[in-house]
Amino acid sequence: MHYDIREVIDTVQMLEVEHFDIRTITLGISLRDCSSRLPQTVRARVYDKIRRTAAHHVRVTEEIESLFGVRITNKRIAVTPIALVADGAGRDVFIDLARVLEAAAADVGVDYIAGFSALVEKGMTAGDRALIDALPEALAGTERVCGSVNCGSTAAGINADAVLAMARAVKETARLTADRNSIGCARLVAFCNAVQDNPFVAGAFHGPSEPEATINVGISGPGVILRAVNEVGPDADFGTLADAIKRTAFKITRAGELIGHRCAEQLSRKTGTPISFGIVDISLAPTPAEGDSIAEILTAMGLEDVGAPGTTAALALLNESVKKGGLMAARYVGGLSGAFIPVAEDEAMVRAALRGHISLEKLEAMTAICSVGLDMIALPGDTPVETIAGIMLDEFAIGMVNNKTTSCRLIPVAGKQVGDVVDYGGLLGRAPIMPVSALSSVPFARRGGRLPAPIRSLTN
Amino acid sequence: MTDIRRLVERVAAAMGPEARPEQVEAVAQAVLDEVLGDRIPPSPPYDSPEPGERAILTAYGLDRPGILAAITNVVSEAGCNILDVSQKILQGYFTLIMLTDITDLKGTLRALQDRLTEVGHRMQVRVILQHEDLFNAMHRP
Repeated sequence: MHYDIREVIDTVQMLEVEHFDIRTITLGISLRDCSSRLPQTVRARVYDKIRRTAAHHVRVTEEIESLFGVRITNKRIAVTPIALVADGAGRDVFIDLARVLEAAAADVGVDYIAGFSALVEKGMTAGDRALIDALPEALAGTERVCGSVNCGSTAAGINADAVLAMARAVKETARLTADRNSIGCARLVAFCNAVQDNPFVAGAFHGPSEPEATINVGISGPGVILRAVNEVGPDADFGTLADAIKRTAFKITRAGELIGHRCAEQLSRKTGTPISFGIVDISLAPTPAEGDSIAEILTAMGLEDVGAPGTTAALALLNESVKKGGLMAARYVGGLSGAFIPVAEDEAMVRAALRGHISLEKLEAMTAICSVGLDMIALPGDTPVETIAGIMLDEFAIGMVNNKTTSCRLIPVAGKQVGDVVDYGGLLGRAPIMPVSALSSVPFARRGGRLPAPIRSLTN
Repeated sequence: MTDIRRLVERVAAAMGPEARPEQVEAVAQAVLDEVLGDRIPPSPPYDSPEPGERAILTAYGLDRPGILAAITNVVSEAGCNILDVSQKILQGYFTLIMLTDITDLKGTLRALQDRLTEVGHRMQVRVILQHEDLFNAMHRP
């Protein structure tokens, strides 16, 4: 046998038993050449370019899926932040462009199209403001469009006006999609230090410095890492544990590298234009499936439940080990590259929240050392705008000072309160409404202006 | 690009000063359907392996007579050369790993996979066929 039987079984077991999948193959498309003074020209160019570039995306991805027997869960598109493409346009034009994105995405058969976005960490143009104003209606009127706004960065500080505007957008999106448990908010992200090549929805966009078109891959394998942790057993020291995670992360990243490379190759051939292979995002993304959970990995390390003292340290060990293993396995690593700790989307995390073991405050601490931030967290429907803005400001302060990406994807579910659980089904899963501090942040959140950049931004 | 120009001109011409977004959408959609056609052309599936390309077949399930024969049959009929076979019975479970050369594959890989799945159903085993590059990438860095 040219292969060790154990290697073959190892790979097959990852795929068959441990939910190992390529979470997303995201085709980034530049729409920078779609700008025009005439809104109707912009919409026609945008529609045409997406359709042309992504025509074969789903089919090629499915082909690669069957070639290697590795499930590719999501086929997605990320585009240039729409505020850049149609800057100067009014709110209605942006709402219309969201419909165009939806139509193009439906035509080519992708699950999501992300990049209904603006980058406003330093300030907002008229177009940026119009896009943020358009967000609630744009999201409520579409199924596949995802919006994100970068409100802060280590270099620029935090744009508090944008944060307040985003908090309002979150509340309004919740209201407009109240009949579906405010699901529109699941497609809306506020960022600090957003990255240009993130393949993961809802925060993906194709950064302004990205090439014409590129394939970025997001891997996922919490179940595979869980097995590695269980195999070393409860008595192994941290060095042994870290090593086991690193080795496993290396293997799954290699699979992501291979598949991304092949997808880009095939897609270039079929579309007749070069589509580069960008990065592998070495994140661990959970799903609601049993055994496909970040929370379960943390408890397998020896904690009674997530939220127990030691949780943040366990997450740090996991996150760093995944990075070290993944970094060696891919030519280019990028995107968010860290463990995701959403509440909905991770059934063990949901259970911990329902038992009262994990709180918003503990999650905030955890986001200081891993990727993404406060993700898919359902809040009471009557949470004030300023409280949401306060939560965002806290989260972005962590990102700004630590020079890392943080984000908020919060769902103040209309008409629901603590004790309720909403079920979104599919990859989104269940979301228990989590308690929020009743203390007021009103004067603080309304100050406006910009929190100045931290000392660590002065590196020259 | 002339298509795009034509489209934009047509849409712009249809727009009066009182244009509403729905109008723009309807016109653009109609013109786009006309220009691009409604269907995205299909792309050919993976059916032309390079010489020397190989795939690994894995099968597992409850042991019963005839599994290996049934699988071997399908693989040979598809024009694949079997290079190596390893079969084990572990605690009553049948485990088979087969290395095949797919250079002369007849039809598409997908079609072969479908036939193997069918045999698997009949024999109550799970059969998976994967290009060997995956195993190379993961275990032979």
